[in-house]
Amino acid sequence: MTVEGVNPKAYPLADSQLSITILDLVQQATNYKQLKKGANEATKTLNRGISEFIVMAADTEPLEILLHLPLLAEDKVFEFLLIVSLSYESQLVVSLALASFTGFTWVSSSYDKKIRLYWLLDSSFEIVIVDNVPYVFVPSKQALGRACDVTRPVIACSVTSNEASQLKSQIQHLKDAIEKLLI
Amino acid sequence: MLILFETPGGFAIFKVLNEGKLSNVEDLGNEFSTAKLARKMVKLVAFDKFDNTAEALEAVAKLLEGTPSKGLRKFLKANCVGETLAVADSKLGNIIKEKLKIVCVHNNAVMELLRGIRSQLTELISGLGDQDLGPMSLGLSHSLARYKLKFSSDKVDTMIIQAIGLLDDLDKELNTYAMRVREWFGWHFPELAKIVQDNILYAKAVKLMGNRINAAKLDFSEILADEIEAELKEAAVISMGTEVSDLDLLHIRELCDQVLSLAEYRAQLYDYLKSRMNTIAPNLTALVGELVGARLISHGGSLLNLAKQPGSTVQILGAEKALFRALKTKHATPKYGLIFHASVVGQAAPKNKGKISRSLAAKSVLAIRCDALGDSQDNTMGVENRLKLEARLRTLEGKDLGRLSGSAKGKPKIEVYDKDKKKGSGGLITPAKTYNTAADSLLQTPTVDSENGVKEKKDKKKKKKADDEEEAKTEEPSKKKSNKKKTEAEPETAEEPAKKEKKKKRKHEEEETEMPAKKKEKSEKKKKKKTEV
Repeated sequence: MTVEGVNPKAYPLADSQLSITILDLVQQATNYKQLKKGANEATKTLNRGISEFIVMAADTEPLEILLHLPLLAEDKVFEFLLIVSLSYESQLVVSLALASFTGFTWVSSSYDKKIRLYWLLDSSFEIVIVDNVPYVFVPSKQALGRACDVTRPVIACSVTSNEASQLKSQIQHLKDAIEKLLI
Repeated sequence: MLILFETPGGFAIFKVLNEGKLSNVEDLGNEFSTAKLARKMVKLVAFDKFDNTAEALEAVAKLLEGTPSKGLRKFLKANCVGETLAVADSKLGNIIKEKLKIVCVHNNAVMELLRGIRSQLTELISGLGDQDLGPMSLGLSHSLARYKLKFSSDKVDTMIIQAIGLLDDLDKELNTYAMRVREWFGWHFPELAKIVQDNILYAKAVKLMGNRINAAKLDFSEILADEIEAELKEAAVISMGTEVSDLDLLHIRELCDQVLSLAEYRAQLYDYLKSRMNTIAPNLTALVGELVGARLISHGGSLLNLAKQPGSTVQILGAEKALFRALKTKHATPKYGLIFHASVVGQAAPKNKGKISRSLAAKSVLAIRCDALGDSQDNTMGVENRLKLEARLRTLEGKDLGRLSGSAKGKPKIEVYDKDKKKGSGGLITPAKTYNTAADSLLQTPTVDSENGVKEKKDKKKKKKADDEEEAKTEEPSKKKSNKKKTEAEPETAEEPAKKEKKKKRKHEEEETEMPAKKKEKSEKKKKKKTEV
C-alpha cells in the first residue's frame, strides 16, 4: 500500500517489510494477551511502565491525537542518583566508579539501560538511568486494526511486558529494529 | 574571488586579495595571525546590516534550510555579479548558482579562509566590536532556539491558569461583599432584601438611595423595573428598620462601590479568559466551554500535561477525593469531576449523565491533544465532536421513549400475557396456582400408592431447592435469604396446605429477585463488548 503525502511528523515510519513484521508480532501479542489497543490504554501502559514498544498509525487524521505518545515514551526515568563531591579529581574517580558499578549491576542484555551523566553547577553531578520505550509508525490504521483482531481501525497499540512469554526474543529483535530506524 | 561571511549583525562580502596563497591550505592560518596580515589577505567589500531581530531570525532560519532569504538575494545581486563567490554551505551555493547565476565555490581552502576571518572579525569589519557582537549573537541565538522549538508567547497556558484561579477567587469575594451589603443595609431597610433579589441591582439601588427616606423622591427607572420600583417606594414608607447616620451610609456606599467595581472587573476578566482560551485551546473551548476548559487545564498543570492523560483520567479530574474514598471503602467510583459542569452533561437525563460524561471525556482528550500538539488555530474538530455528542445524547433519550411505548403496546395481547405467565412475573398468577394445588391436596387419600406419590413430590422439591442454591451462589444476599428459608422450613410439616402456600410465595419472590440479576449480567456483558470494541 502506497500512502501519498504521509505526515512528516509520523517519524520513525516503518517501511513495508518492517511493517509486516510489526503487524505479525502485534497479532501474536493479541493471541498471547500481551496487547493494549487504543491511544488511551497505550497511554496508561506507558504511565505504568509495562510497555515494550508502541505502534501508531501514520494515516491518522488528525495525527496530533496520538503525538503525545512519543513524548511519554521518551520520558521514562529508571533510576536517579545525585552525587555531591568536593574536588575535580574525586569527581572523576567517583563518576567512573559509579558508572562501572551501575554497568556491572544493571546493564545487561535483558535490561538494556542507558546511563547519562549530568554535571550540575554546584560541583555535583547526577546519574540518570533512562530506558526509552521504542515507538514506530505503520502506514495504515486499517491494517493495524486487523492485526489487533478488531473490525474497526486502531490508531495506536502497545505491546506489554511479560518476562515468561514466548514472544520475548521476537519483541527484543523488533525493538532493536525499531531503534535502528532512528539512526 | 569573493567570500560570503555570515555574522549575527548581517551579511559581509570580502574580496580575497592574494589568491595565490590558497593553494597551501595548511598555512592559511598563519596569514590571519595578526590584524595587519589579515588585512593584506582579505578586504571588506560590502556589509548588509540586519535592521531588526525579526529580519535576522528570518535570514538565519532560511540559511539553516539551505536557502537564501530575500535580503540576501538582493545583496548578492548588487555585489557579486560576474565574480566567483565562496560560501560556507555547498547546498546554499547550489541554490545561489541556480537562481542568481553566480558561480559558487566550496572547498577546504574556503573553510580555512572563513575560519581565519572569524578569528579577526572585529578588526576586519570596523562597525562591529566585541561589545556589540556579544549581545547580538545572544539575542539571535535565543530567537532561533525559540523559533526551532516553535515556542510562541500566545501559546502560554500559565496565563489561563492564573486567570481562572483569579476568577474563582473573585466570585467568592464578590459573593462575600454582596452578602455583607445586604446584611449591613438590612438594619436600615430590611424589606429591600426581598424586593430586589439580584446582588448587583441591590448594590446599585443602595448606592443611589442612601437613606430610605430619599426613596420617594428618587428615580430608580435606570436600575429597577417599574413594579419593583413602586414596591420599593411603598416599603420605604412603612419600613421597620432602624435609623442610620450619614457616616454609616457613607461606608455602606463605599462598600457598594467595591461590589460594583469587582463585578465590572470580573466581567473584563471573563472576556480576557474567553479570548485566551479561544487562542490557546480552540477545540477544547468549542467542546466544553471556556470555564470548564480552563479549569481542566489548571487542574492538569498545563495544556501539555493534560494532553498526556488518558480519557479516563480527564473524566474524573476534580473528583480525586471521592475516587480515593471509593477505592478505599470499595464503593462505586465517581462518574465525573470537573466536566460535570459542561453543558452537554447538563442537558442529559440523570441516568445518562455517566455515559455522556464518558463520551465527552474521550472527545475532550482528542481535542486537548490537537490543541497542545497541533499547529493550526481552527476549532473544526471540536465543533464536529460536539455535534456527534449531541446526536448521541438525542439517541440515548429516544431509546427510553421507544422502550416505554413498546412495552405499553404489548400488554393487551394474549400471547405476550402468556409469555409473562411462563416467566412467572406478576402477582396475578399466584392465587390460581395456589388454588389448584390446594384442591389437589384435598383429594388425596392415605394409601400405599399415595404415600409413594408424596415421597416423589418431596424429592422434586429437594431438587428444586438444590438448583436454587446453585443459582444463588453467585450472589451473597440471595444466599442469606435461602439460609433463612431453610431454617424457617424445618419446623413446618408438609401436610398443612397453608404453609405450602407460603413456601410457594417465597419461591415466586426468589424468581423475581433472580430476574434483575440476569438483566444485570446481560448489561455487564454488553458493557464488556463495548469496552472491547
